[in-house]
Amino acid sequence: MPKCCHYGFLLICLLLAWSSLAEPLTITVLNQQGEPFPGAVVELKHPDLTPASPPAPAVMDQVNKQFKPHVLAVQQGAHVTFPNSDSIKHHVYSFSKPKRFQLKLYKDQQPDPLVFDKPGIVALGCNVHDWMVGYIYVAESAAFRRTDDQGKASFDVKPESYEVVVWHPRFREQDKQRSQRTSIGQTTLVFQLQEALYPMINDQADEFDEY
Amino acid sequence: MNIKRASLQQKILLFFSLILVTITVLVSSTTLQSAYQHSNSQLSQSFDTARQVFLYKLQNDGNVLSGSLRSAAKDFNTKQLIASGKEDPESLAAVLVNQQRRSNADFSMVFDGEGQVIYSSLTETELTPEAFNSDAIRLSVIDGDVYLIKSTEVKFLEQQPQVDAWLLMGINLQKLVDESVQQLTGYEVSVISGDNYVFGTTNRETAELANFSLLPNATMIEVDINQQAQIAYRFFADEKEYTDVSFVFSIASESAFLNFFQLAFQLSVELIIAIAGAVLLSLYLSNNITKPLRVLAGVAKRIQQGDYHSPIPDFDAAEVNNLSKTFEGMQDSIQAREAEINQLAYYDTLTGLPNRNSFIKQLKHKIETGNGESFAVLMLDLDRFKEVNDTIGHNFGDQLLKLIGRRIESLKLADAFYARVGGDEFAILLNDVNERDLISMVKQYTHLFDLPFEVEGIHLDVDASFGLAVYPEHADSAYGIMQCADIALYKCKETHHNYIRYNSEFNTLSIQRLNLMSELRLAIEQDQLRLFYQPKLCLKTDEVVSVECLVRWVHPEHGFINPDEFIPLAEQSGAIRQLTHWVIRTALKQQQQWQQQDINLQFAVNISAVDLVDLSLPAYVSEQLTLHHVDNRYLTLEVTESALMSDPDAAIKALDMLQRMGIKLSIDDFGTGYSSMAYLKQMPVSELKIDKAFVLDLANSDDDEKIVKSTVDLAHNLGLSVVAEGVEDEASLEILKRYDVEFAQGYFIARPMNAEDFFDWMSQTNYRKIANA
Repeated sequence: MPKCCHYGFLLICLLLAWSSLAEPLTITVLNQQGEPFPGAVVELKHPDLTPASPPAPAVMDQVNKQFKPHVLAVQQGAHVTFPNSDSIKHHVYSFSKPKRFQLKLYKDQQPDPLVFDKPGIVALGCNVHDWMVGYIYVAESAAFRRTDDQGKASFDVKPESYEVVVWHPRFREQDKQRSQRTSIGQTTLVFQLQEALYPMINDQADEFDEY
Repeated sequence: MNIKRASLQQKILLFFSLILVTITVLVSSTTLQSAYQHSNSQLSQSFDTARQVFLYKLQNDGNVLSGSLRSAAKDFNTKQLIASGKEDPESLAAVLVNQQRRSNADFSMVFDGEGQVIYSSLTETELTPEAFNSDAIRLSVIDGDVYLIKSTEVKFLEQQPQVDAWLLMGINLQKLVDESVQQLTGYEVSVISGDNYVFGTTNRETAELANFSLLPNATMIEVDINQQAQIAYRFFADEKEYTDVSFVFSIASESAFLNFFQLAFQLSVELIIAIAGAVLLSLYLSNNITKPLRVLAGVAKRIQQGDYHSPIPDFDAAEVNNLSKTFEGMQDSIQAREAEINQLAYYDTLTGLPNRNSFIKQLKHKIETGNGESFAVLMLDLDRFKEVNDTIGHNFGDQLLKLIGRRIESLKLADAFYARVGGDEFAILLNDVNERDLISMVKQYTHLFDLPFEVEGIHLDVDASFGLAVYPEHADSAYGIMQCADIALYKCKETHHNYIRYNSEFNTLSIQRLNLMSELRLAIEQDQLRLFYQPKLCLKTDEVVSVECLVRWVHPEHGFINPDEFIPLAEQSGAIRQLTHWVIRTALKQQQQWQQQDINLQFAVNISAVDLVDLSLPAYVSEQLTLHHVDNRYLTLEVTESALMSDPDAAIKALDMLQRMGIKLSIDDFGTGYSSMAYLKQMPVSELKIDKAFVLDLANSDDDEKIVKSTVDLAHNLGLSVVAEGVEDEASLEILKRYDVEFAQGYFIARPMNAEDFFDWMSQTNYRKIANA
């Protein structure tokens, strides 16, 4: 997907925000110790936030026997392609409810993209390589993003009351299921984890490959 | 010997047996006990080991199941089917049947991540999968069967922390606990659930095993199973919170303790053999010890019965043989001593002649064997032999007796048998006598004393008296004939004949003499004695100053008995002490009475030589004086001169004691004894009584007058006062006055009188009465 499209989308959002609001809504995710937690998926839910435009397609690559990215957030209905950048076979599968599938992936063979049309978490595994774990967060709202290095995610949205959902595979169940609601006109929300994180799987850095 | 007393043999036997039985019982009980403990601890250990092996096996079975479950849980297809289990249960069931078969399990279940059952081969269960995901042995009872159950997590993504599903399978324990387990552990294994028997390697009735549930955990215990003693051991495979399933190992006691029972049996047999052997051995030993003792006891009995001549056997054992030798020595010395005793008993050591016993024995023998044949006993006694002894000495007397014995022996007449039967008394048995020969024979014996005896160069004329008695004329027993001869002898002494033949007239007198001795004590007790009082007159003042107390015996049969007759008898029999005591007691009582009647007199009491050595006399005198309130100085004790001089040293001691008590002492019958002047001056006496022999005829005899005068001089020179006895006429009294004799006593003044008469006499007499003290 060309980068200009992103910028264009962003520009539209900003314009929308500026046109109606004075300030954007910023969610700060902190871990149990109060340190900023980067990479968490933050989704704002509101009936108005149904996507107007078709969702952007996404890619879940397999590089060096790891899913890349480790966590992928897409909008409901998005097409995700599963290329194989390794020179070996992978057998990607998921038994998660939103999307059960399996793909036998060969080098240089590009299967058709899969449509993730149900919101939820799709855990990805590779039947050949047990250590390979990846996640696709299928957001039902158009407003979702991942926290930056400061653990912040900012949304230019109308001043409404939003349900804020924060997710990351290292979160414990309680934190995963916890949502918070903002009041109208609230510009900041701090989401602090109440439980310790699961340890990191392998050496996998939860890097922001394309942001 | 006391028959009830246990024999030595029995004691030895008992002792050995007791020791042996004690030792064996101790040894066997400790051995058996330690063997039992060893067996027990071995068994206990074996149970522990078997439990560990058993549990290891179950653990292992569980591990196998777990492994199988885990690999199934990782199977992609299975995961896929579990993930779509709700939409496609048939496919899931099919794959699980397959997995269950692979795992050799008997049922299987699948749960989703929330613990909801997705699939179950059982119709109804309430299992929660987490509990069985453990390394421990997890057992559960389902529909009456016990299952070993394992579960495992299913993760769709292996790296994911969250659990997506559970896989659970169970194996029926009957497949795992079978014959092979019994062989492996060596015990029958029963599986118990709660109180219920589930199954076992050996089929059992449920009811019989109900009590298994009461067994303590991991402790072996003896129980009855099927009427058989068994050792049982119960344990749990799992913590009780998970299950109530337990296991029981059991084994028949006799198999469990096989070695122990064998050992006990062997020991018992050995002990019985040992005890039997010991009993036999101790029997043999005790017999060895006691047999010689029995033999020696027999010997001792023989010796007791007087057989000193049998040989005494030898024995092997040194100790016993020593005892035997000692017996021999004892037998020899008894023999020797008997001979010596015989010699002493039947022979006189001085003259070598047979003694009195021997003579009597001879007489008895003669009477028993002589068929009434007549024989005579001639008894002879030396005249004044005591004087010979006293004057020339006992040694001299002994020599004389030897010579006499020899002289009698030299005269071998008519088979005569001689014996020395007393101090100076010899007896001669004359056999086969007729009257005529007898007289001549007796005369020959009397003539033996015609010639003097020569002892140590001194020629001594000795006279002897002879008494003759004839058997059976005078008596028909040995003692009787001896007594008759004795009586004749005394008669002879009295009458100064050469010899006297016994006459039955003598007898009454002699019997009386003998009786008197025994009757005297009775007389004292029965108050047959009386005291007579003869006054003494003070010649200077004509006062009656004292009385001599004279004892009189009025015998109920014999009438009046002369003191000269019974006092020597009393001295011989020892009754003199009681007599003297009686006299003192009676005299003082009388004195007390008279003092109350205003008659104050000195009382003189005669005491004998025997009383002098009676140490209790002073105490008795003192006690009686006090009792009757009589002052000591009112009592005079008179002792004859001969009594004093027979043992002067003892007499001095005794008199000293009495004198210190303040009692006046007087020498009686002075002039008839043989007073040593040396002793006389030492005697603590204050008075001499001149013997009446010198006073009776004083008026007519110049000799007596001289004797009296010199005696009075002697007495006065020794500081003693003088009493003259036997004053029978006034002339004599005048002479006595002239010689300054202090006191006089005699018929001229007054006869001895009884108390009443004396009292009357005192009131009538012209003599002055002593002034009241």
